Amino acid sequence: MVKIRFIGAFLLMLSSMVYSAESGSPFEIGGKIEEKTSVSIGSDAEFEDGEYLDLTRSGEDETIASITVSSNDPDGFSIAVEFENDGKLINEDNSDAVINGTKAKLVYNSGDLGDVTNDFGDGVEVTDLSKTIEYNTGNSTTATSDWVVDVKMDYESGEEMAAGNYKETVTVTASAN
Amino acid sequence: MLNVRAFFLIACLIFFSVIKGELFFQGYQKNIVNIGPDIEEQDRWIRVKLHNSESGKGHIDNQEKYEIIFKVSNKGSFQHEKFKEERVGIRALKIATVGNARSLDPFGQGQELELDNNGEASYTLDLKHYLSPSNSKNTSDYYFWIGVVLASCEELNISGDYSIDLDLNISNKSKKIKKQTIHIDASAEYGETSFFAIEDERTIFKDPLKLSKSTLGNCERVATCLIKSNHEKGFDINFDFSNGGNFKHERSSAALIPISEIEFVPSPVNNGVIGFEGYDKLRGSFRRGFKLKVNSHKISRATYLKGDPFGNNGALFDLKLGWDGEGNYLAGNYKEVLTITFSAH
Repeated sequence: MVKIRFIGAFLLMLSSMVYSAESGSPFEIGGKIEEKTSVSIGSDAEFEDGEYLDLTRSGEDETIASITVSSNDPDGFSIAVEFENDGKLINEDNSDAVINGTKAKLVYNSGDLGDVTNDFGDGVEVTDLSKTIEYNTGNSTTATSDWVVDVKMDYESGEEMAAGNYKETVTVTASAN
Repeated sequence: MLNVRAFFLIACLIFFSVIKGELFFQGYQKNIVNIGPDIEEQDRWIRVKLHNSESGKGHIDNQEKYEIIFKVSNKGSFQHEKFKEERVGIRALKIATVGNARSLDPFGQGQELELDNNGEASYTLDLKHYLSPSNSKNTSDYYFWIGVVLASCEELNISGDYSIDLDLNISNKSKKIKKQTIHIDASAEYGETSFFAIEDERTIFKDPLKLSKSTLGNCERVATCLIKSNHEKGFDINFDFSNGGNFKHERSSAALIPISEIEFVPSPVNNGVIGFEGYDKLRGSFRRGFKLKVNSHKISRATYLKGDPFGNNGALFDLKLGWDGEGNYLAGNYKEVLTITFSAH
């Protein structure tokens, strides 16, 4: 199961200004562009949808979800991926039967990331799946448009494990800063 | 000898036919009046002379009545010598009669003759009625004072030289007298007045622009300017954009929404007289800044709001801008700083 949480609240601070309508006095014209941040999550391995991982072998860079972000928030946005069982795929009938996840990461797929403070580079990777995979863009001076990143996972082979269904719950959270 | 007498008789007939004169009006001295809002009434009078040049009579019969038709050119308006659209309407003429050139002060004696829409008025001149008892029965010249009553001195007219042509047709039962035209020059002093104000600017707080909406081809009003001026040498209006014509993000200087189009057009709520041209040159692509130069050759008349020329009202213009709001712009407040300055020449 993939839980999607999105926090879109943000605040634009307005500085106070003084203007004059007299001839020769400058006055400020302008307006506001509203904040728009949208996130969509596409799961590639959702158990309930019958999208099964092949656990009869070890997995490497198996895509379990895709995250699409568009945002014009100058404060940027953040993405967090958490594994409820620290990356362990647990047999639904026997909790002692576990296939360990060994690595997870966020990697670029497509789209344009804005000009952000924290470069995404080659992505974000964790080998300790008890830790949250996090990426925060920091401030942004240009908008992000249809930027897609994949959540990928490595896991051990379950070839010699007891038969049955193995599950882990992943929560993906994306929010404007 | 008979031939000599016949020749002399014929010559006399020819001579008398040549010198046979007529009654006519003529302007007396220089026909100059003063007009304007603060001009005293006596400065709007001219003196004209009814003169009899009929040989053998030498006098105007003061027992006669004359019908006079007045017609003022331009449908009853003084016209500026330089700015042809600049006119000062005449509501009525006044006529005052006196016995001779050196006699009575005409002021206070005038009879007002309302002009019709064609600038015409008629008057029956009864010389007996106006003659002083001390005057002789017959005299060769009568002098009249004709005054002008302006329709309104409240319009913001331009100072300078104005003129009218006053046609005078006079006739009575026994005489038909040809039309006389008297050219009357007028000197007007209105003073020079200019007033400029930004009446309704849209600031980021008061009435922010919808920057996410594209206004290309349908520019959005950002300010309404009020112009009132009767400076005959014109004036300049300078539009300066501090950010070079870009709405700049308040936090990220790299995030810009460029202004692409600009217009300075008469406001749809305008009830003003726009006495200059050239403002339409501001339509078009945006540059760093704009200067609307209104020189004397672009002026046809004063610029003001009808009905309230001495208030603070003038002709209203809208400054409008166009930008492409469809881009994926960074959220936040954007602003451009606009300075509009007005200077009369």
